[in-house]
Amino acid sequence: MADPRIVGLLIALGLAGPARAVAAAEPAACTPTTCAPVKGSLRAAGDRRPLAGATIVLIPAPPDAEPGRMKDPPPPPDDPAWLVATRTDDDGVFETEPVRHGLARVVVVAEGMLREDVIVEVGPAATKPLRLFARPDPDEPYRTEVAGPALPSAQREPTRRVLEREEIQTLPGSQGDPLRAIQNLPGAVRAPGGLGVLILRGASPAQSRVFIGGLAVPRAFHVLSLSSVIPADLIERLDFIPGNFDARYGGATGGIVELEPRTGRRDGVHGFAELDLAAASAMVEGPLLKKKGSFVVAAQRGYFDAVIAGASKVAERTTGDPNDLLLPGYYDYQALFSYPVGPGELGVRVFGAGDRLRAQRREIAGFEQDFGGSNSFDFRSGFHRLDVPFEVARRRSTTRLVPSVRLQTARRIVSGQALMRRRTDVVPAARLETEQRLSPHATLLVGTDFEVARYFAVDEQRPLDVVTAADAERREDDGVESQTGVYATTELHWGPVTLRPGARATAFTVDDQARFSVDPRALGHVDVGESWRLSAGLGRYSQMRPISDRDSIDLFEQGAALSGSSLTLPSVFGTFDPEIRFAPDDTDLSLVQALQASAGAEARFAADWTASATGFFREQQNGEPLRFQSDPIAATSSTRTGGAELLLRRRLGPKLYGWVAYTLMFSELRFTSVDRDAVPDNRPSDFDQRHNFVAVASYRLRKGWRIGGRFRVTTGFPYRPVIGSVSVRGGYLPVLGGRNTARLGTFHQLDLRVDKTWVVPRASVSAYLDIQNVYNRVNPEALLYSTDFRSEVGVIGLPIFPTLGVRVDY
Amino acid sequence: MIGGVNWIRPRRWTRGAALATLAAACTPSSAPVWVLSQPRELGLRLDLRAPGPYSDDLDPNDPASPSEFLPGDTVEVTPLVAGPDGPIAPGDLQALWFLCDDAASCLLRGDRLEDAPACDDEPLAGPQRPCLLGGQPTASWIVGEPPPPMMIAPGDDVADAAIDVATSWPFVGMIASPPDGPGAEACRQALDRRTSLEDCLLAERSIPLGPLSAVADVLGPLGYDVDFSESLGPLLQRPRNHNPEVEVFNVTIAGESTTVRSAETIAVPPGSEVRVSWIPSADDVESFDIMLPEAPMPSTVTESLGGRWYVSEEVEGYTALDDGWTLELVAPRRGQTHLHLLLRDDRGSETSGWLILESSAS
Repeated sequence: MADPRIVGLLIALGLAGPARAVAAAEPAACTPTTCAPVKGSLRAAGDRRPLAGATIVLIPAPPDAEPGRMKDPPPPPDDPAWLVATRTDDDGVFETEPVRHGLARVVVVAEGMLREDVIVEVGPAATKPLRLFARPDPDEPYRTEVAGPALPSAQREPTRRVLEREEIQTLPGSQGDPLRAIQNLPGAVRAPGGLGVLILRGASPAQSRVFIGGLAVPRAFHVLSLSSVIPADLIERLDFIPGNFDARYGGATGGIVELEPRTGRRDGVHGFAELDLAAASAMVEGPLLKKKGSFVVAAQRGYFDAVIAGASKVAERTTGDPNDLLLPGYYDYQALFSYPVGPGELGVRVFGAGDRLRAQRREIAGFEQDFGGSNSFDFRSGFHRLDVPFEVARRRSTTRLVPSVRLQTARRIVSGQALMRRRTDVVPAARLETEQRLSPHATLLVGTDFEVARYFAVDEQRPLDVVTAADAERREDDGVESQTGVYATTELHWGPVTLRPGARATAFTVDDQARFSVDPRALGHVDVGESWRLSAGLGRYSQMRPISDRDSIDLFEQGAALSGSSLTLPSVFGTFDPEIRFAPDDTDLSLVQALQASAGAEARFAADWTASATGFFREQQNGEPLRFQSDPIAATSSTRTGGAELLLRRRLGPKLYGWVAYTLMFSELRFTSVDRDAVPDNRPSDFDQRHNFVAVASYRLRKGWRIGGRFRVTTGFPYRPVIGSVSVRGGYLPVLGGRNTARLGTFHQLDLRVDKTWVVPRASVSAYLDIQNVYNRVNPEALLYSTDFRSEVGVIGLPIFPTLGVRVDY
Repeated sequence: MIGGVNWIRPRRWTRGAALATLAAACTPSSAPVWVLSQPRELGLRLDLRAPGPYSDDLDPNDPASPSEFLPGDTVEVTPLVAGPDGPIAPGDLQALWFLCDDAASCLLRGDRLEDAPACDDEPLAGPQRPCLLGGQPTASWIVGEPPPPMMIAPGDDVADAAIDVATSWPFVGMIASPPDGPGAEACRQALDRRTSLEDCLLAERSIPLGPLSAVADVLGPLGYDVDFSESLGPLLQRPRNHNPEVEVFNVTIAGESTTVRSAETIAVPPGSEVRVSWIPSADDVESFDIMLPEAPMPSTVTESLGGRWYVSEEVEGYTALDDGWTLELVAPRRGQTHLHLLLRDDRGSETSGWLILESSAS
């Protein structure tokens, strides 16, 4: 007797009439010499994902049919002579009841897939198992679920936004990068120069942190922020929390991003290879040890340096003029293994990233060849990390342990100054936490985390007098920096009300100096009806303020001179990531502490639409003393930020996703005391971006096409203007105005993206064209002045920038 | 290093970083820098009003106007200002002059003028933070003796201090309001607040001391006990610098040349290609012989004199040639066009001249 559910499906598909379903489901009597079952497996074309629960129906083949996939199959007869049906199991495998030898028509019906019709030869010998591939239905395409179902405790913070992997990979203007995708959400300031720093609710990039697998990474972006250090394909979940984050995380006074690496697929070996104008990447994943475990191995290499060097050679041959070059190159790699052990899951994660930034001079002096080669500036940094996470989830508790060790290196050589600096850190770290459900209304999370950085630094300076060949001056430093936190959060439910009071205590040490902080935090929300949620948060956040280093190197300074004109960058470039810290100096260790508060409302309406409004406030004490490069005073200062975020979002659906986001923000640097009579005026902070509007939409068309667009309008960054100049022998020197007393012009830009995917049985091929700044507006990112600084000669901005990429998934 | 940035000798990596950024688009501002769309300070001219005892020893009958000075000299500073309607006389400005009696610029150091005292009538001996020279159309004062080396550069090498004094002490500056501007006091307040000086005029420059051989003789008894021949070398052989004069231009229109004196008007056919060249006199471009170390014969060195042209309106074909001594342009369709030439040599003397092109059909 056929499964009534299958019969109902067949009726709905017109493959069986209601009155004859039972009779037609029974083929003529079979014997082993006259009949044989049909076995096989069913997978999705493209990524070869096994399709479980699909319906496999066998009916007689039409006359003159030949074995193979039917093209333009005729509709199945209303009244087949016989009909056999079954379903695929979790591995996509199926086996039917025996049917008569001869040709049979296999009809495959799977959710989200096009119907497949195949003619098979059922013979007296064991029929070779079929390998069937079903193509996705363009009107109801499958998509990879990235974020798991929302758990009651998952929405801990007032503002926690989740991005799906498909959104990350197809968002216009973000080149598939997960952290650049975040910049399109409210609360994230548009980064200067279109680069990938995270400026969250006005906080400096150094005041926000990115956590991968529960532990912070020293760097989230590659050099010049061309790409994140971990690709979207390795992320199970990405949560963006611009402020008021839980007590689980510390060492940040701004916002955080949580990236949870995923485990490998266990249904077979899969992977991808991708190539675009800036980088090449590849990944392989698959099962281990009888499919109980899994692995993922991936790598990426950015070759922007090779592209620039090649283009420069062409230009040099054409013009005859040598060029100075800025050459950024990078790589990253990840290897993730997981295996069930006892009641839990044990993992091993190895990942790392390396960057190199060189400024290459075409004129080489013999002296500089000895110390830096043809590179006038050569900066390298990298980190490598090993985690062994272990997680046990029981009925009433979840325990997570993530021990880790990290190796960090940084080296800088400046040949013109004959200076080399090198630093190495060995950083053991760990997180241990357990979440226990105490009662239906209460859950307790307790945990601890630590990082202990043992650093070794070397400074070497060679005197400029190479004639006497004096020895280089060398200085070595070593020490220990650490951060240890203990935290606890209780989650209490009373009907629609959820409260999460918690606290975090952290000890910060640098060598023999120590500072402590106890940061209470409280979060909560109220569900009003089915669709509304009101939430709020209040808490204190602490972070070690970097000790004044002998040479704190920012890769960008405000202001730079070129022959013929002079470039002024806004202040925001001054705290550009990465800032390379070398051996700390003997100054006091102090803490930066921020009070954060936020409140908001979110409404869910229709199937996939949400709207939210959040107000936020942040008051940060910047630690003492604070010195400015060009204002040699010591001041106590605070940064006060407040604003509102609005978001209207269509969640990822079969065809469409997108959102409209607006952030209003005021961020001001305030001075409270100085060691001189004059008190500096309060001024906009370096990251003050008053208005930020983003509209994003992406729509899936037929036949594998997807189009998307992004439009942004933001206020310009504040900068320090040149108000005059001084004539000196040999040229002019600029007279600078007050810091951040002027503001660059408004930024607006349109980006478009087109994706096309071809799905073949065992692979899929995607190509994309991403065009940033479609109408080629020169948005002011920096100003150029004339050589006498008496007038602006122009503004600099990024031009139209197309990126072409190709990717093969299997 | 000023403000954390080496402005005169850029770091190569910053140049590279900026070049990478310049791989981006760059768009010009609304008007070229050479267009005088509003009153603008072109420079500050220095003249010797009255020689002091050291200058008397040099050449009491020097016919040219020296642009290097010695302690005891009375220096006069004249602002060179021009606008869309032509040059602006110093008397038409509301100016406030200040002196920075230190081997550093007051403006670059961030000094404010609000509480600055008046400079004494007596020769200055510093260092003093800015003092006010008053609100006259031009400024004049007597150059005092340089401060002792330890007050110029505490903790640094005395030779470095000597070079600082010889090359960049003192500084004189002007904050002024043009006619119809906000007034000198409003401009002064804007300067002290370091806000926009869009409607004001600001200029500051170092006063070059020279000739360096005479400067060395003055510095020695003041405590600058250094062997200047080691640190300054052949520069000690340079004679005193003088201001060039912009008096005569050669104007070529359609192949025909005419000589025009500064401040005169010349008629040009509308739309014609015009070439204007400054004609120096025999004394304007100075050459002198210097004996370089281990050289068998003296070498003749000619000073570097560069020009920058400014025009009262945007014109087609603006092209500066010959180190800025020559300007090519297309004459506008109608009206008067002012051309201003600022000349500057490699030892800091600045002077200017101008002429008017009258575009008419006849």
